[in-house]
Amino acid sequence: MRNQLEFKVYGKYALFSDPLTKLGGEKCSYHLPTYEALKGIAKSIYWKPTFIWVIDKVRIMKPIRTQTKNMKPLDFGGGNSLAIYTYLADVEYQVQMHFEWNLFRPDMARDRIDGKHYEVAERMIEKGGRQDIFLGVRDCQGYVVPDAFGNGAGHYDTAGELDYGLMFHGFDYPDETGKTDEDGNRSDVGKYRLHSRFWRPVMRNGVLEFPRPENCPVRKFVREMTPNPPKSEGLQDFTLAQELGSEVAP
Amino acid sequence: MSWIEKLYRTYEENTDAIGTGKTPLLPVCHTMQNAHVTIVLDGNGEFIRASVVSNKEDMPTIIPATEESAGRTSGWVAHPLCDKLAYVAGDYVKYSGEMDAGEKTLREYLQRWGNGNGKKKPDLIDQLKRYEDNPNQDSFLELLELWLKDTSAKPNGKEAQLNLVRSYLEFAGNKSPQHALYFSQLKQWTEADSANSKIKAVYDYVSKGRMIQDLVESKILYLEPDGRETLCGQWNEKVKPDIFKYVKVPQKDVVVRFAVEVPGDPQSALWLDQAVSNSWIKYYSNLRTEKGLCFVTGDRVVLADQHPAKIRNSGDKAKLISSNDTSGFTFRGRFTDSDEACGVGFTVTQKAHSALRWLIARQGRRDGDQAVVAWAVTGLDVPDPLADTFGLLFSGVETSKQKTVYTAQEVGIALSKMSAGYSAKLGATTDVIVIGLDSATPGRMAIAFYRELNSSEYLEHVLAWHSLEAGCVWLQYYGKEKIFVGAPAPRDIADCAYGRRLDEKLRKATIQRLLPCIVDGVRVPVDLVNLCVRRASNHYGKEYWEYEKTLGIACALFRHHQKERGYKMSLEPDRTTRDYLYGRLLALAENIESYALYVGGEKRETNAARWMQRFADRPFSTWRTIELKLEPYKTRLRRSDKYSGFLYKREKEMDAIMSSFSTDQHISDEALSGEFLLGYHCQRAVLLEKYKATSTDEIESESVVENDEIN
Repeated sequence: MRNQLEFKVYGKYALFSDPLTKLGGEKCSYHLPTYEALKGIAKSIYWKPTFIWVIDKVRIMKPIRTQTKNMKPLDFGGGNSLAIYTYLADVEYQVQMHFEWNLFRPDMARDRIDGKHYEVAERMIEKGGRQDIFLGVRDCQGYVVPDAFGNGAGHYDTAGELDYGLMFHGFDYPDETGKTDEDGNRSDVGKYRLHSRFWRPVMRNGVLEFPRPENCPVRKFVREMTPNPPKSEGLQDFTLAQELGSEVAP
Repeated sequence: MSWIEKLYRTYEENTDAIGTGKTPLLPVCHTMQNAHVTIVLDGNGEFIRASVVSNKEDMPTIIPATEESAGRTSGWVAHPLCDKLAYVAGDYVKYSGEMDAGEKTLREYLQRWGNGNGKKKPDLIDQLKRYEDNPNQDSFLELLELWLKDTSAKPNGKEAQLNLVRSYLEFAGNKSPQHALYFSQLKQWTEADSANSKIKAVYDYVSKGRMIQDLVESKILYLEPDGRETLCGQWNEKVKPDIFKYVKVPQKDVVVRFAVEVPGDPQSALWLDQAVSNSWIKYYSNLRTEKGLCFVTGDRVVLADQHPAKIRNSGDKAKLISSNDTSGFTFRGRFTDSDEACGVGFTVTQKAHSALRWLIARQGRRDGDQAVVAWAVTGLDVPDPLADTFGLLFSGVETSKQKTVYTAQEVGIALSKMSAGYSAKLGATTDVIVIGLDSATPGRMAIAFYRELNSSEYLEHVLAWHSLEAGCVWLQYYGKEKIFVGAPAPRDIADCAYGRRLDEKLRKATIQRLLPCIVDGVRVPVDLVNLCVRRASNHYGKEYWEYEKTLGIACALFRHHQKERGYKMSLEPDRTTRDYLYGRLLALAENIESYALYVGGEKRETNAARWMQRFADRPFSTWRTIELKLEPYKTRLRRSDKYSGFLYKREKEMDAIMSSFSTDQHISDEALSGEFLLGYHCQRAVLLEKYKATSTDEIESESVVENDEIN
């Protein structure tokens, strides 16, 4: 089954917030995109609850440049407070990803059709995505174009290996992981939990290879969370079938 | 973003620097405090003697501190060992003069407070109930401690505080509330670490509760002269005792440090004793046992509740990591609690912040709220990215050997020496980190700039900025005492670009924009170049030195921005681009006119200088005007025999330049780019040299002058 897709996403600014400094309100960007941010871009391009996007690789095309901006974020009690945000300026990434069926959504079983989602996703990449693309935070608008991974010359193609410290990878949401035990491993007898995952990225010649979510070395338990996605059987919905009678195709 | 991890590693690599130097690297769980009085005890906790710390250099002391006490601002939080008299002295209340107070008892106050605000503090309400059921000193003390720890519950106003103190006296037996906090903390530490006899000696002495009495008897502290048992506020006589001569704070706020003399132990000062430091670190680290995930190392360790402040200076309340926003938008939503959002290990954060503090004090550059520091992880010095060439190369030279004028050759030699020296010291694989900090609000700090580079890459970029061939380099005139061929500092570039409009925020922003140009080798932003060029085209409103400085910086910036064109710092007779030639023309016109004015004994500004701005905007039409205005001065020179030779030479040069123009280039009235400044400056330098030669030789014969010209 074909399920691998590639695209290029670029934008003027990006902000992949570092959780350490974000707590204080002074957002500072990681130099590399996080798995979760790229997964979010993929989901903005095209997503159905039937499948999960898994990001394989990302390639950083332009030199990493930061820019600070003084912002006036909203205060909860009304009014504004002042903060300094550090963005990445002028970013361009080539992303390679694939999708896998979400086996924790048995109600979507009839939607796991070979080729359907692949073709729609391909068309959506050409159109630039179904929903707005944003690079990390909502105010960093991004644009998606179809591109082959490895096309063109990137700035870090000959840079060798570059190590970064511990970085945020993504969140383990219970609707995609099912029940887990305390440490985040899949378990049928555990509870539904939210975890955050971390890893130690190594950029090799501009390419960052993401580990699968299950293989992330460090995981932190956040809190218990019950997945409650809207359930539907699509056109086979019982009430719909009742209303329309025999006109609904089985 | 591994800035915190790099700082942690820097700390680990430089543990031998702990405690040394003017602003030393602090050990974990310690802070710096100015101590004023040293009390010396013996091994059994008996008072031997005391002294005032008279040497100002000796006052900063490294003292043990808890997380809360290191970050204390208002509210009563005690340091574990050395603190103000109000905390350490048991008899403080007796001597502090705070005895005169109102009537309210603490119990009434607490009850009233409990009924009103205490609804939000269930543990305080419980304790209050327990006290009411069983009113004895212990339960009252517990209630008081709980209440004191809650900073929002402090009574406002001096009256209320005095009442509090007095009431407390009645119940707690003449001890100040701050002392109660200090005492219980010290007691717990002493009991936990019974092996250390020195701490026990201090504890024994403090529990005697006669510290101020001892200090008064040994003539360290002084009471009021009118016989009251109160510490003297102001000494009115001429001859001041030590405590008033050397210590600038009132007697009540004096900080005490301890020394314990035990026979056989040469190190009596507790603040220099490693065993005491280690004992405190061990005890405090083991106080909490709950472990969580550290976001920096990835291990499960004891997490920090609060992160250190005082990073840029000792009065700095801003924190890099602050997690107290329980009512805002920073992390709430997906997370309900700051622990869910992020956690950093206790030792990791202490060490990282200590390292940052040390680095900023040692080799950082501060500009208001902004601090920029560059360092190599192994702790060695790296060239300062924000220095101008003079500061970079010659600031370490003794002032007697320092010259006022440094030529290109000297600068080149010094640069290559420096580069060789640093490459040898740092090696090729050391990490160099440049970090820039800034704060928008007083409580929080942001990382405005962060770059990790190889040392070879860093040196390459910094030297490229200062290099004579392709750097942002020109002859800089910073004043009569500071003339050099080199790059300006970003601070000076900001001054040059904005002039009097410059305020702190704009300067900070400009420096931040220029940092990547130096550290990363990015091209200088074109708007800054244009601003500088524009300001350098205008003599008006600037004094001589200010104009010269602006001109030097503008030329340097333009040259760096257009480095592909390869401008040289000396006059290039072969360069026939329109802007360059127009610059040269302007210099010639100015030279002729100023010489004519000098000959005539007049002290006016030349037309050329006055119309430079207009010339930059509309060169062809303005040149026509300048040339016409030049006629009377030329006539003046032509008429005299002495100076006609000079004029002849200059006119010949002007003709040469004019013929280098192509017609359509010359006629075009388009505005000039910064290139004309380069032509202007180079030509002017050449003319002034010749001018010096001609004025001394008095143009004896044309042949001599001709030879000069060839040279």
